[in-house]
Amino acid sequence: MIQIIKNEWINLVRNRTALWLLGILVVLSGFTIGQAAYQFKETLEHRNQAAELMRSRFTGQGEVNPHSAAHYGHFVYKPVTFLSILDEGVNPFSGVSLYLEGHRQNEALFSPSQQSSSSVRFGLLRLNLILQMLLPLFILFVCHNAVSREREEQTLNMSLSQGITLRDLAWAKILAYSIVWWVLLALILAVVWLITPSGSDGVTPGRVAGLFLIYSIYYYVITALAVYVSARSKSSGNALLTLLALWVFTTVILPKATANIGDNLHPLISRLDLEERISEDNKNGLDGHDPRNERTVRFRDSLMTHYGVDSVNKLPVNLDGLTMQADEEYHDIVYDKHFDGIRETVRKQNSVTAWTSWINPFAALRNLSMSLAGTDVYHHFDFMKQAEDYRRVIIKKMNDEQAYGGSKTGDWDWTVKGDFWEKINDFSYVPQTAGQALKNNVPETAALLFWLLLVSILVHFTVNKIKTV
Amino acid sequence: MKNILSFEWKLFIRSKTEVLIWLFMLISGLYAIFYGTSFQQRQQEVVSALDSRYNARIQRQLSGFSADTTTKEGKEAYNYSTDPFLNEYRVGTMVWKTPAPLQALSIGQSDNQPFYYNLWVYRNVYLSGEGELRNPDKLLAGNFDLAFVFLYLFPLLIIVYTYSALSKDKEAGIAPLLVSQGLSLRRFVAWRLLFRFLVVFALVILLSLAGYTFAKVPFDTFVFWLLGNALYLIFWFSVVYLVLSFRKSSALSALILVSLWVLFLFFIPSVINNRYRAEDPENVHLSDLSREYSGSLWDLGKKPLMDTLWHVRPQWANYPVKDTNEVRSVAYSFLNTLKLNEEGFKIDRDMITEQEKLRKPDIINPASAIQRALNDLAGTETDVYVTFRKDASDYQVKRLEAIHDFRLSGRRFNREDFLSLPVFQPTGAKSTLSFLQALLPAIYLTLILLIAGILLHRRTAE
Repeated sequence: MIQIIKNEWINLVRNRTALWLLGILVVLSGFTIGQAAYQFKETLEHRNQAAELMRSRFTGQGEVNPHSAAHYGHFVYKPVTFLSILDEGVNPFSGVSLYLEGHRQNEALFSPSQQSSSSVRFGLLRLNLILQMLLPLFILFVCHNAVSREREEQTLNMSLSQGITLRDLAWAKILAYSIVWWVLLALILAVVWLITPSGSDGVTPGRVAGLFLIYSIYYYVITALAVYVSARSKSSGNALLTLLALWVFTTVILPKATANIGDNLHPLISRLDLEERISEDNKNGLDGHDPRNERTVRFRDSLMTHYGVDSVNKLPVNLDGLTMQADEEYHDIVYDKHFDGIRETVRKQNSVTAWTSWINPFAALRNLSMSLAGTDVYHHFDFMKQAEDYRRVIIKKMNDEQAYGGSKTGDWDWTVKGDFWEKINDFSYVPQTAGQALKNNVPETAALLFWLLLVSILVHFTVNKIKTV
Repeated sequence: MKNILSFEWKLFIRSKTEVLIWLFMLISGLYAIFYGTSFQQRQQEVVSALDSRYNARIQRQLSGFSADTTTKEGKEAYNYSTDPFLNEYRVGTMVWKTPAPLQALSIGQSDNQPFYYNLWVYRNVYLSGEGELRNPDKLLAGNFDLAFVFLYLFPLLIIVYTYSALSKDKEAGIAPLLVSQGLSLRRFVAWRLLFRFLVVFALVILLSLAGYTFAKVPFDTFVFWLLGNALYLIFWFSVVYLVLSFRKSSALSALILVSLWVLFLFFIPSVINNRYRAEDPENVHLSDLSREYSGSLWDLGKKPLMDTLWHVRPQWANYPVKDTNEVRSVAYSFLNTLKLNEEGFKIDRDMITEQEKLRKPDIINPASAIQRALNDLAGTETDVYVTFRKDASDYQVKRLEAIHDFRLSGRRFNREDFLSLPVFQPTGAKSTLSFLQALLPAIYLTLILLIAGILLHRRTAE
């Protein structure tokens, strides 16, 4: 077995075309890492500067009425993770800044793709293009004739006559090639790990190890499939064509088709309808029988009862602040109801692609790669959720200050002290762990393991049955 | 020639694989038309809903002018119609871009960029996140529209049909037989490729006709669409013709062709995209302005605020303004809009500059040249969106001028005033000349490839 592995490596080294292509891939990977890392540095600086500027605006707003400050609002920026140099995922298609204000939740603004021409739909040159598309294509090119070449050169039967089985031969070749891809992958990830700026959020050993694992499994699966197809094919040409067809179908056609089918099966609500429903729920209550005016009166009365007074003017607190906070809290429930529904629809749309991982290992790799790089749609949702939680905190602090800070009901000119804003903590995004991220990718993880098992069983139990002549 | 074509036809219909692949492409194309038209229909439904709700609000406001003011409700309706500010609040001015018919076949950026705006007096289009809700994962995957099928999948169909056009006879050992009958292999390959071109082009026509019918595309647009796609097919046949002149084995030819497909459709565009970086991708300046400028306006005293407003619109200085709050509201809305638009126009210019920069390398990549040309034709390219957004912001300023004029002069609307408010008039469609210009790089490259192919075939034949 070891001898066969060594022979395969010698053959690979002797194959000039393969070596050239491999060299190009390595140089390209190095260039891509360098360029992406440089662009990451720029983006990080931009975002940090933007966040600092907005924080300074927020804390430096001085003596203003808290409710006016809630309307001026605050901007927070989506952090970038260094692993986006490996897989940028949905980052170009999701907003980068979020305006936090009182009374309403906004959407993240200024997605890079929205501000670009249609060229952006071709994608950026990132490592994932090399690791998910080009390297697998190279693997197919190298492995398509792993067994068929020996058959064509009539050395297969000679090898088999020396006592080894076709299964041993196939395993040896699969292992020989897989080791090469694993080493290459390890080198690329090691470079990424080594150049990771210190203190980078989201780059953890767990995520990097996870990335190594999923790509390793994927390369093993396609190597094993290529060797298997090579063993079954009448000629190397046939094997290559079969493998190229499979590559195109699984890498280009299926992912796009399934994403579109998901969109057809689970369409998102139109914004017009969404706004109408939110407005309706706010106005007439979640059950449709609790109008806002009545809620406000009920709240006012309960407050007067609580403080034992018969007029709002006698309240020791500012009713406006408390009413606005109560209204905010009701609106939050309405928002959560509708936006949870939207996230659920997105999840359903994406689940169509996720479940096709059982017939397409590329779909599993694509989704898991984005997830581990921290750039999938669920990481975006997590940022939005944490930013919304922060909005609720700062708006509550402002409303509470209006209510309990010493102002009277109706006194809209009352202002807080200038140092009040410093007491409100800055927004700080807490990245998910790899384990938390992968909870969104159970079908993909299971499917990738299934593929690992399937090709292993296929090779182990059926290769010997293939006719060698 | 007739013999070769009839021989090729027999070969084609006898090959189950080739016929099946043809049918697969037909089904893919039909699904793409279905997806594209259903996408367009969804946008059209939104536009129809906007239109009908907007019209209903206008009718409601119109009826307010003749409301019975002896009742409480009538008095309120009359007040909401005649007060310019309250009227605008109830009208909720909206503008939208109606999807062009060809959008169903070439979705471009129309799924990613807003197609309607709410022009309420305190809103700004450049800070509006409006547009439909989108799944970023779906945006990343892209649209399975007919343009995708033609641009990405048809080159693969061409490769499958042609990679062995020369080598298969050699590999089957019948090439010498053909040559012995006085047949030139070079010509034979040319006729074979012509036949394959016709088979593929027939499918393009069939699918385009289906799209033309379902999406109700205007005939002249349809002709340009066909022209663009025909050119793209010719480009790929030129690539094949050149690669076949290397006289490599079928498998190696297929590998070279697939590699070229990856090069043109993934590698070159992604490398070019990497080169472009927006100067202020987060639009920090605009965000900061929106917060700080509006705050500074709000904090200005009455006199400096009025002076600032009179400076930008001197005609308003003649009005004997009494209501301080009214001036404050007008100044806040109007000055803020002008300032944010100023910054927004810079963003528009940057987007157009980016588009122009990215257009330049089209000479080495017909795939992106044709994609852009088809999107231009379908009105789904970024410049169309930028024009729409600019039109919307210009219209908002015009409308604000009209409404604020009434507010500052203390006049109230009557029915005629309301009906004579400016209406949204979007800039007209682009000329077809730009479509032909967009095709030029692809024409040049195709010609170069064809000439290179002919020369190389001659040399290898010798």
